Amino acid sequence: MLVIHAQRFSQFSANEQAAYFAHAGSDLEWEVPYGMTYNALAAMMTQGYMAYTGTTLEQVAGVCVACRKWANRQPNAMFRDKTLTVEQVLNSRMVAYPLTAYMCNVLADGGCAYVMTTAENAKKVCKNPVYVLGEASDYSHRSIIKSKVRDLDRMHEFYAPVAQKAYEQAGLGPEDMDIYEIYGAYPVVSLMMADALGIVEPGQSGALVESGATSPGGKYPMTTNGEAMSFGHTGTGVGFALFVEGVRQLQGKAGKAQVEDARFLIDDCGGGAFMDVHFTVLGNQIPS
Amino acid sequence: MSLRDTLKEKLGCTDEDFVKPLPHPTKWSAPFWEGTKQGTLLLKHCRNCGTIDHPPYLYCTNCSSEEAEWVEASGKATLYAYAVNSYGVPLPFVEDLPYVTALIDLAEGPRMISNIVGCAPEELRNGMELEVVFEELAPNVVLPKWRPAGAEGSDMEREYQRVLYERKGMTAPPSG
Ligand SMILES: [Zn+2]
Repeated sequence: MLVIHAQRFSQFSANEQAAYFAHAGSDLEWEVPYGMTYNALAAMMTQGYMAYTGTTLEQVAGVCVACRKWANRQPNAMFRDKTLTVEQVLNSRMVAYPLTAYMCNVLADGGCAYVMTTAENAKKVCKNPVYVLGEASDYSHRSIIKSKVRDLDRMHEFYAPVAQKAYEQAGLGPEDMDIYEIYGAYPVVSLMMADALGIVEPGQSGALVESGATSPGGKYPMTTNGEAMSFGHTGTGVGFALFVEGVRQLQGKAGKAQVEDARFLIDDCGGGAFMDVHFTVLGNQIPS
Repeated sequence: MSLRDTLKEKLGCTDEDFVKPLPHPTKWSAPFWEGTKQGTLLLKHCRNCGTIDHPPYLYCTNCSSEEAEWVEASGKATLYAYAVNSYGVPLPFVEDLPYVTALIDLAEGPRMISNIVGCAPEELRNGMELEVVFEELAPNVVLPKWRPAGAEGSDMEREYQRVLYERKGMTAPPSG
C-alpha cells in the first residue's frame, strides 16, 4: 500500500493563514471570541510549563536550536542553510509572550510517502525493511481547559502510559531506543513529550536539551529532521514526514543526519490543540 | 493614518474583516450568555453528581445526567497561565494588541479561557487572584473577562459595570 501526503500552504495569503489557524484549533464559542490562536495556546502552555517546572526560556529556545541543528543536515529542510542560536531565538520578534517568532513553526509546502506492507511481504520487496514493533494512542481533550491531566507541568502523566504501552508491545524499553522522533510543533510540546519518554526526570527535559543530549552527536538524538520548527510545517504532514524520517534513519538512508547503527526508535504524532498522542516503536529488526 | 486604514490599504481588506467573531450560543449554552448580559456568571451544576461543567454541555460530562441547574458563580478565580499576544493575530484582534489570553481557574472548579484586562502584562503572576468583569462585545453579546481582584479598573469599565448592575436592578458595589 502506498501512503502519500502532500500540502500546499503557499496558495493562501498570510491573512488567510492567520484566520485559518486561529479557528482551526480553537473553540468557536468559548475561545475564538477572546482572540485565541494556536500561537496563543502554545504561549499559555509554555508560560505555565515554565512557571510550574522551573524550566527557563533559554531551555525552551534550546529545543528550536536542537531542531535547527538537525535541519542543517537535511537537504529537504526549509531551513537547511540557516543556523540558529539561543540568542537569536530569544531576540526574534515577540509573538505572544513568552513565545517568540522562532519558537513558532513555519508553514511549508511539502509532501512525503512510504510503502506499507506485511512483514512477510516486506522481505520480498525490500532488502532493508523497517518494522512497526509497537503502537499506542490516546485522546485527551478538545480544549486544553478539559485536558485529562490539568497541570501543564504534569502532562507526562497523560503521555507516559501511552509511550509505555508502545514500548511494551515492542518488548523494548526507553533505553533501547537509538532515536526519539518527537513531534511537538512548538518547543514546549516537545519538552512535555520528552518528559514522558522514560529517559529523563519529568520537568527536566529543558536541562536535557540544554546539555546537547538531543542534538546531533548526543546520547538521545531527538527529532532528527528538525520537524515543524525547522523542517517546515506541512499540516498533518509534519507527523507523516517525521515518521518517514524515522524509517529512513533505520534504513541507513538519512545522509548527514544519520544516527550511527540506529536499530530502534520511538516516534510520536498528535493533532489540533494538542488533543491526542500516538506513539510508534519502529525497528530495522524484530527483537528476539 | 490609523492602524486599520494602513492595513486596509496594505492588505486590501475592508471593515468587515475587522468585525469581532461572536460566540454563537447553542441550545444548552444559551442561559450562560443570557446570564452575562445581566452581569452574572452562570455555571451548569449537575443535580445527579454535583459536577460543575464549563463549558456547559447538553448533559453532564461526568455522569451523563441531563438533570442540571444553573448556579451563579462567585466571580472569583485564580490565574493559572497566560500569554501576552503581540503579533500575528487575526484582523479582528489586531487593534487590541497587546492583549492577554489566559487559563483561569474558577473558585467553583472549572477552568476557563478568557482575557485578563486592567492589568499591565508585567504585573501578571501565576496564581494571582482575579475577579470577573463583563465586557460588551456587540449589542446583547457580553463576554466575561477577568481582572486582578480588587483592581480599580478604568472609568469606562466602572461605568459599564454600573449599567450592567442597573439592568439587574442592583446598585454596583464600589470597586476596589
Ligand atoms: Zn453529573
